[in-house]
Amino acid sequence: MVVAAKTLVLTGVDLFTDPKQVEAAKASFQIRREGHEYRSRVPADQPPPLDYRNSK
Amino acid sequence: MYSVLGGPQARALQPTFTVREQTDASWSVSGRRPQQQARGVRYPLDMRTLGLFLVSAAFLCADDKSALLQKMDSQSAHYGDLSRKIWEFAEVGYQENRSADLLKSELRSAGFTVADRVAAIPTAFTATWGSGRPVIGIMGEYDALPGLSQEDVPERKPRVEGGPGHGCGHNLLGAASAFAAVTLKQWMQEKKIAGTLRFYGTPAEEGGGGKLYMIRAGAFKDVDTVLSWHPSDSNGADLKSSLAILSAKFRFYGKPAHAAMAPDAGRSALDGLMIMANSVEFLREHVPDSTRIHYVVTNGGSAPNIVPDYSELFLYARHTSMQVLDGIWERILKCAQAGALASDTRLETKLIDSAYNTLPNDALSALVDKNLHIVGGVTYTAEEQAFADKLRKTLPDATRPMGSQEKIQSVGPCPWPLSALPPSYRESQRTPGNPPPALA
Repeated sequence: MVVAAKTLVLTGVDLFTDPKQVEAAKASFQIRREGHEYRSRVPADQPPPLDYRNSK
Repeated sequence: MYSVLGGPQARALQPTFTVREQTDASWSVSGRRPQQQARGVRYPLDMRTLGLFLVSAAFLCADDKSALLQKMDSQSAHYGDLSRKIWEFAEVGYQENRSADLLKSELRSAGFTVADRVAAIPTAFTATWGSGRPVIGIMGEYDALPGLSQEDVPERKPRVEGGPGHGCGHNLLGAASAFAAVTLKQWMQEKKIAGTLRFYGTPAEEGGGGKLYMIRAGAFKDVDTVLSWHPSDSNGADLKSSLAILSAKFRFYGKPAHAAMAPDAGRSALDGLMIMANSVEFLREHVPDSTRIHYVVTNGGSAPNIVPDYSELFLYARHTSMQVLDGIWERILKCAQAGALASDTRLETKLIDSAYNTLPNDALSALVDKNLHIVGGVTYTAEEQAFADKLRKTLPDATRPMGSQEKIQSVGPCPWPLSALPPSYRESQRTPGNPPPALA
């Protein structure tokens, strides 16, 4: 977990100090999602299933 | 599971056994580089001074990084305690009250502003520090799995018989991400770095779709980039995708009757469920090989002599493509309708989760890979090594040699070059770094 925390910190340092990295991330994102829209299949008015771990 | 749009997953060591969800993304780093990096840049002669300045800025950054790593070594025990507490709380999805409270109070006392009950979920929150752009997010999860209660010994020994437990390392996930957020915030404050840092406390990652509802509530609307990670059995950043998932609870409502005195008066909800499940078994042969369908009966009635008036089946279906999955799902719904029709019961379907296969992010994964190599792996003590070896012997393939946690997995290019990706792999994402209009 310390390896993960440290890696997140160093990556955060890069992202906060180098705007080009943020732009590159966004560019990568746009390239891979091209032509595809995000659409959740869960109805928009359905509340979160807070009881999904309980069975009646 | 889950995973992050625009966000890489740096996977790191999980010292206990790991149950890996199919939806968890693993990432490899593609050899592909964003176009702007590939372009040559022409520097005018008078730019040499600026060049020198940039070099010294890079050194400063490297100094910052090594100072941060040293500082984190001195504070890691505290976050280990945090992780241990969450591991002992072992709270399942949407019920992670103590775990979320612990992380919230940690972040609040570090100076973050906590927004509670995001998306009207009691255990979802964000903790924000700073202002302006960029807005960088870090994901933290903390839910446990039902039935996996476990002592910290290398053989199966529940703490609470039948109780929940952390089989997937989400105790580490939340604590390490909070550790990172607090460290980054202190660095930003000290160095007067502009921007907004936000910790996302995302509940019910295990099949409850916490992030889905947080997205819907706009929690990711303004974020530029989100980082996430997941415990695993090796350290690496790669570009693999995952399986898209749809899940639902199928509830059948019948009519109760005494099963011996008046069975003809009853309509069995369990019959409906079993007809549905059998139909799904037949369906299995006629869907693409890469489909996964799994389910459990979460309610099958109360006593054999009572015709069950209620039953519930919890089912997941997965495929590499959300579009293909949509078609399979239609047919699963028909199986459910068939169950209700044949048993003369009423069917109610409640969708629980809807997540696309992970969208890899080449640039962020490359960045994480670079930093993971700076951080390096983990060297076990002899005691830890012995513990891990005992754990290994409990695995189905006990002859498998021990892996190394010291080295970082060297990552090759994305297994699918962009041009060769099936549409599904280019489809979409699970959480936004920059939500599409439909979500805004």
